[in-house]
Amino acid sequence: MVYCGAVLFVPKGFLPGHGLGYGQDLMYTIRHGVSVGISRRYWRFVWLILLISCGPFLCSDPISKSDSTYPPSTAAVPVFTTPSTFGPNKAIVPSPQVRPRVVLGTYRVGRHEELAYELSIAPCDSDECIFQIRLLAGNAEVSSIDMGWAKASGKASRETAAESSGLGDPLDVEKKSAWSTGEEEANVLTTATPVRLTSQLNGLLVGQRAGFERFKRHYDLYVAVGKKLIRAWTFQEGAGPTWSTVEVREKGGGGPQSVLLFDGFRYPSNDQPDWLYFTVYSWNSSKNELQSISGDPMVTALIAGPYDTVAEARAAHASAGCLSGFWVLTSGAFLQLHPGKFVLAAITARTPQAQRKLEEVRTCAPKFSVSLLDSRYRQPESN
Amino acid sequence: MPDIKDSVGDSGTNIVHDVAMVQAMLTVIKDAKNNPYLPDYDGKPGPATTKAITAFQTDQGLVAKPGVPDAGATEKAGLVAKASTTLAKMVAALPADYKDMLIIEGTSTVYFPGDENDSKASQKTILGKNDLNLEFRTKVAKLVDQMYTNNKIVLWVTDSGWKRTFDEQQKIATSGTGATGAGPGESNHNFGRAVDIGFNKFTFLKAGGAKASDDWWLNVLTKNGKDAIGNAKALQLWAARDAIGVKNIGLFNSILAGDVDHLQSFDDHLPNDKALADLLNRAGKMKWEAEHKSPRRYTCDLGLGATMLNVGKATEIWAGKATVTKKMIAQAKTDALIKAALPKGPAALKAVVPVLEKDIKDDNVKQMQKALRDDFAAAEAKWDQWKTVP
Repeated sequence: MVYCGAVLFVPKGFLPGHGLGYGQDLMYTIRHGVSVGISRRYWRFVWLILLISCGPFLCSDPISKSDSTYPPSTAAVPVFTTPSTFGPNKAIVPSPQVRPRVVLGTYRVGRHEELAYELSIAPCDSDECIFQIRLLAGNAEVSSIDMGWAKASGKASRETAAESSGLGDPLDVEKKSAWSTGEEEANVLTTATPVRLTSQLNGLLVGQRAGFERFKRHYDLYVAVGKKLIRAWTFQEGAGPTWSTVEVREKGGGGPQSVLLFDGFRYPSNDQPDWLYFTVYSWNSSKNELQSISGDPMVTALIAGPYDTVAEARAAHASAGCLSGFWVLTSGAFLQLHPGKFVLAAITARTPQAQRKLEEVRTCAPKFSVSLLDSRYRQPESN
Repeated sequence: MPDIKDSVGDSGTNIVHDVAMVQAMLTVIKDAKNNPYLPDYDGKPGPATTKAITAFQTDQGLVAKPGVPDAGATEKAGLVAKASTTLAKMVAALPADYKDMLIIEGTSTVYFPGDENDSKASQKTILGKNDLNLEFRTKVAKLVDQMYTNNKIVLWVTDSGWKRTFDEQQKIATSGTGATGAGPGESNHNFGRAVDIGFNKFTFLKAGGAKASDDWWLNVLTKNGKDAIGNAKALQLWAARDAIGVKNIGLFNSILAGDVDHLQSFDDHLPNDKALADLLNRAGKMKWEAEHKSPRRYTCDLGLGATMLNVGKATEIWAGKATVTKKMIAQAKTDALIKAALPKGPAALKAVVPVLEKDIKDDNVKQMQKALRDDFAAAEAKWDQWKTVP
């Protein structure tokens, strides 16, 4: 084993905290397994002299100097080598540049002041980088999980996502801010929202929407159990024309929050109505699980119809552009309606959203008789 | 006829498909009290499976009952070996309409064979689709054929999974349902080189030994047993399709996780917008470029051979509402005059009279928007000339 040394000068503006306003710390993971944690408090004083273990013919530049996400203003990364390592006939093999960790956000765990969740793109030397959740105690990583479902390109930018981003109420047209990485089918939008699971514990709900030709969505809830990070719940859309969104709902009084999942499938044919599941989850502290609440949940629904056939309902749906958020459902999905027919329905857990949508539909599709209904909602397999 | 490739149960090899098949049989076969030996199957070995095997063997007299002296039992309790008496007895105990249960290696879903005539009809339909690229549709038909030959499963292109016209793509892209980000000419489905192909009348065994018929996307299986388990089972079947279509035949699947029904003729990493610009340049009258960043926008020389100007998104261009202003047309025309004068020397350049915004009429803007759309229409008409661009 031969050693070579590296001197790093870390300039102002290089740290995520300066570049994006989200970072709490920075971990440089250097090829060959050497990691150096640099506290934000000390960045002004940082002159690091590192000894990097190198292969006999290899000494890699540990920090990307060309990462446009965090352009260092005066990056100086001199690398000096032991002369005897590289003889005249021994070529230095260039290694891929490792981009440093891209911190997308940090969020308090709640119970322990010093613990925080960090959503980041892990250090990476390719265009397919791992989204990672880390549990930090101060600046030190105590636990981490690779997200795995979608890969990041390494560069992330803030983007205002359309309502199909997969986070928020189905009728909430408010634009959401999300991290965007990659292009076309490799595009991934990522959002993160803390969820108050108990009075002393927050979880971190991460939603991702990937794709271009078609969109797919995936959700994970990460929770710190003691000092171990667990993936307490996950949902991903299956094949075909799927759609989903997740909302965090207040129960009132500052108590635990619920997670609502709307999970639908729009059948592209006239012989079958759509599927739309609506599931309410709450935290089970004894099992450390997010569990679905049994029974038919209450929804506020906008209802048009009824129609005798799926084809009639679909024709009505197609006739007005502002009914795009509506689904062709069996009337039996709503306990208050007579079964055996089909309706156009949009459901929400927020009555004000429903009222706002009702006004919008009455303006843009006046020929439709749309009514507001508070009802128990039955899942597709039972209606 | 149900079979296993290796042993299942106590100290067995317990390969997932063998375990699932034995478990599946034990959900169908009833004991003397008309109860199934197992309530469900998942392909995972464990004490419940071993106990159910032992119970079946005991009821069949294949092993000694607890506390009863061995009366010549030949089978090992809690184990089903390949070609064993226990296995033969299990198969014999199945109702007649369950004796054709099948399972694919590496999967954990037991299913029933599809109709060969349906498979042939599917192939015939695919081969008859002249708006699919010939080489591509031949490969897709071959996939359908091999999937049936190997696994007795019928594959079928979904109603919305064929080639889409630009009008159809526009409708989906602007529907507000959040289904796609691809506008006209930006979808893999617009040029006859992609299909969404799923499972036709797929019938599988679900919990409790009942048969369930699924849709093209395996929604019933996906939702069966709740998300994680159902999804995993369904993904195994999609992987079995890709083992033939992608690995053997050379089709490509989507790089998007979960977009499993989609298959196409080219690597999904390649940029669609650049390929569209390339086709527009070959089929249309103007010069086009793709910006290749979100949101997708295109630049065009407006047919004047000079400055490239941002004319908006594909959905806007196809709607006849491309980003075109009088100022843009005036600029493009002036730049074209300058470009033409440059080789002729300073005098010619000095003689150029700039085109002013006021010289451009409302009709000129509309005509330009129509001309831009016409280029898109020309590209659609020459869909079979579409090719990938690095």
